[in-house]
Amino acid sequence: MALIIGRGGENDPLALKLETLQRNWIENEVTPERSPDEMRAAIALAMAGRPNVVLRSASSRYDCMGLPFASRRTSIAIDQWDLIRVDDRYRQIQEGEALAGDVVIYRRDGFVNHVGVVNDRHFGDNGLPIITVLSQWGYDGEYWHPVDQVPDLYGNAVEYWTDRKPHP
Amino acid sequence: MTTHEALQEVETLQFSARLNLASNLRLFYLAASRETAVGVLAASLQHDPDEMRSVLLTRILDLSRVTVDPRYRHPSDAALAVYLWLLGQFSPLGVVAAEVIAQTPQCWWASRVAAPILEQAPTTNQASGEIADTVLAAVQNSNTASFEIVDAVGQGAPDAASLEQPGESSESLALAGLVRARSKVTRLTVLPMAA
Repeated sequence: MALIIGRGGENDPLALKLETLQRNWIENEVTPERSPDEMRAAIALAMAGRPNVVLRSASSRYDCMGLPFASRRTSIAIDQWDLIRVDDRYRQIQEGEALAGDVVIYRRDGFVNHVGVVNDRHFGDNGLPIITVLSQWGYDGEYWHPVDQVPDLYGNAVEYWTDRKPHP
Repeated sequence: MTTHEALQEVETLQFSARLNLASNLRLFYLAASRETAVGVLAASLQHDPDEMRSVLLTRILDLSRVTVDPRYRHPSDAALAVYLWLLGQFSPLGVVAAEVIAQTPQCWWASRVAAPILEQAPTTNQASGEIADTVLAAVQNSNTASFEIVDAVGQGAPDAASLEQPGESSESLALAGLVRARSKVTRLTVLPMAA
């Protein structure tokens, strides 16, 4: 049987060696790429009705967690966020404090469903922050998008986290 | 939407694209449950469970045998996952299908749906001859019917000697053995042979 016990773990041949700053293993698995036909269908779906969404990369090798925490090399199960958040000393910040490189968390029904990286933040005429995010949607492509323009499956952007160290 | 149309829809690129927006298995199930075609198949399973189980297993056997480009994910990964999810609600037959998918290369979602089914697979005499009948029907209905039965556990299941008898394929002998075994079959593995 080709069932892998300990999927994403240290003995999984599809996993890359990936650890937190505290040297805890981050479960991960390099995802098979999707065929060009499948990727075209996925991109068409993602961009339909979303004029402000721009495709950055059409890879399936990584997921939304793999983008910020594995430099786009592999997929990381979303339940690893708590481990990474604690071990890598992320701290929660307000939306208005977010800067490029910080992490935005989307939740639905309380569950973390999606992770993105803040790409740009500026303030609109009304004084409210306007945030652009870079994130991988499922396994089917990485997009620049306004923070509130994601598939509704992911829920809403409710938390911002940073690993920035303050100026000494 | 008819059952046939639902099956066609589940195997489209667009269906696959919608389900692949999911970032984890919980979201995958949520995305699948929102699909009209999945609702139609689930309703058909309730209305005519024997027929639909056979249909779903047949589709799994056929799709699992498609030649896969090793550079890419299995082209029917999402469809296999959804069929197995539906079939898994009838767990003994779900185990048979999960075994097939576990041997199918380049699956992502489907292998994730299969894993818990196999982990919870019955090891005692919980199954019945219904499995043998349904598997037999599915294999016979399959468009690409050439399958190797590598494991059948249970009293009365075909043994290695019976599979080696000359003149008949191991497949037909094994299936005949399964039908004879009826209620004594507890677990079965059906693998698609190389095309």
